[in-house]
Amino acid sequence: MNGEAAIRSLATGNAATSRETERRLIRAAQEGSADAFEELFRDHWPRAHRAAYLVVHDAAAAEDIAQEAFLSALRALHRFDRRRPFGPWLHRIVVNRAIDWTRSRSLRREEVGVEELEGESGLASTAPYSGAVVAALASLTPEHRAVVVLRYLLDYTPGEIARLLELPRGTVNSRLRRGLDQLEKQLGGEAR
Amino acid sequence: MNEDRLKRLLDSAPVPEEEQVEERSWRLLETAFEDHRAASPGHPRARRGLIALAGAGAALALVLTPAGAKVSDLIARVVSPAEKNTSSSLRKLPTGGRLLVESAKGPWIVQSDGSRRRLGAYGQASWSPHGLYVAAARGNELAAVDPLGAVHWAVSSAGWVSDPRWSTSGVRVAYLSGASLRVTAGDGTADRLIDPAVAKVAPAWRPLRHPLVPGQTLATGPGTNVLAYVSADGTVRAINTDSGRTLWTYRPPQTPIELAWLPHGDGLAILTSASLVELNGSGAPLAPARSFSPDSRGAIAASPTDRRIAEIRRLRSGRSVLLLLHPKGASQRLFSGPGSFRDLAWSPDGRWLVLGWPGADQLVFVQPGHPRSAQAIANITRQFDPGGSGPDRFPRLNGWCCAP
Repeated sequence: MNGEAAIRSLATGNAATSRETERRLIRAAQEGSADAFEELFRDHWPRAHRAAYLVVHDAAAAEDIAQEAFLSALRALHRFDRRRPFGPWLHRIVVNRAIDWTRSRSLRREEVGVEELEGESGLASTAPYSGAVVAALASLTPEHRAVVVLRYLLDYTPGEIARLLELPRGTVNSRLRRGLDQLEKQLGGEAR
Repeated sequence: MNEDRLKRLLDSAPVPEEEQVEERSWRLLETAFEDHRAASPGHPRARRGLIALAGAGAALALVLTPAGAKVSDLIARVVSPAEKNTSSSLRKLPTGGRLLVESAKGPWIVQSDGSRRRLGAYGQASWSPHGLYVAAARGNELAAVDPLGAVHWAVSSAGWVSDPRWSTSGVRVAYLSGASLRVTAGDGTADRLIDPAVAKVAPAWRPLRHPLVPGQTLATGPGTNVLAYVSADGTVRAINTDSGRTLWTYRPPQTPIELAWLPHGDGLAILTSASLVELNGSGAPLAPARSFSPDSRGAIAASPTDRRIAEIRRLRSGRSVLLLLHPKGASQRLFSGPGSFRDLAWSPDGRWLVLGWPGADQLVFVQPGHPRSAQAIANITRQFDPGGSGPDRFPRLNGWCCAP
């Protein structure tokens, strides 16, 4: 099936056929269909970008991280195993990079002067706080933010998150529990 | 915590410029996909063992510098290191012409075979249109120095001289003297004031509409000497310096920091503190300005052969990126790396770009048609400023001119 046919199938299919359609899109993209690659991009970009932003809380960094993740996907497209779903593979890259970026930013904050920080957008200086949940997430560590985003934005089970992040399942559960407790404190009754 | 409520909050949390980011990211990915397809096994242009990496400058960072090791190990598994892309000294240029490199010791001319000569204790150096001279400053003095270091002429000015630019006609030199803009004839005579209050932005001469015939080095005639500059209030002005007539003015949305004419004077690119504006030859915007965050500004360079514009930009992730902006709005990511890039120049034939990378102490040559063939030259500071070290001593890249 060529890319256009795969796209038509995706557009008319239901959830049960979406995995098969995704496999066809990947195959078409591997065979050079730009339409199929665009369909994969349009399917996966919004949540990948949103996930990156909710972890790093920096618009430019989120854009960069999501772009780099898709570029990585493109570079490895020819050897991608079509039996595997595309989303988890992409989300693993996005979330791990977002965690790394946030950690390195924290380190950098300790090393650089006030003048440099004033020019950057980030947890303390930008306007992403218009969403209460974004502000509440800022109170969590990047590791806790990541599991909350994977669980409640991207709908992975704790077991899947453990495999994605290569963590013990108990660690994932405890981070989720602690994250939820913290968010409840921050959001108060709003989240109930 | 109600989990359904949390899911709804995460789904609806505001993400800045969500749609615009998706569209510009797709443009980048689309270009990368086309190059990937062209280099994939089975495609006629494929090269064995090469994985297409347009827009994948991050991987090149791995290849070119240890600093690139910060990039994901996933990329490292895809691209094997190619040490041959890095040289420890500037032995030759990847294509013809001569580089003008300026260190704290003064400007250097680097020949295509890598040999170099220092011109003396000058600064702010720039090429004359055919590389016969270099216009340079020393305090209140503007001088024309030939490539062997001999002073052809010099004029004194009341103010501190900076940003001299030789006209493409060869018969005028514009420069800033303190806060004023002045123009002198190409032989150092007839020095005169053009505008008493200008911004600290290098003026830019409009390229000739018709190329000179071989052997001709000077152009004359009405409308030959048109200069774009930024007045003190931030307005960009194009004037005929011979008649004094203002051809057009344009007020960009933010403070201009760099001007670059397109070939044949077909347009002018204006880099501001937060946008890139492209005007046509009459000073009218060609398209909506490309906006970016104010602290990401870098530098631009217009191709000498077509309407492409190269741009370096600092990302908030701490990385910098070299972009190639195509006339119809598509952008191609050619190279990226940690830290800042500085200065940018096209080769005279329009086939290569060179940028400075102070943090890596490298000059990086990138071929837009083949970004994977980038070449890095290391130890730049030591080569142009013996005894100097550190990003603060990294030299400036002041131009890539024609062959002698």
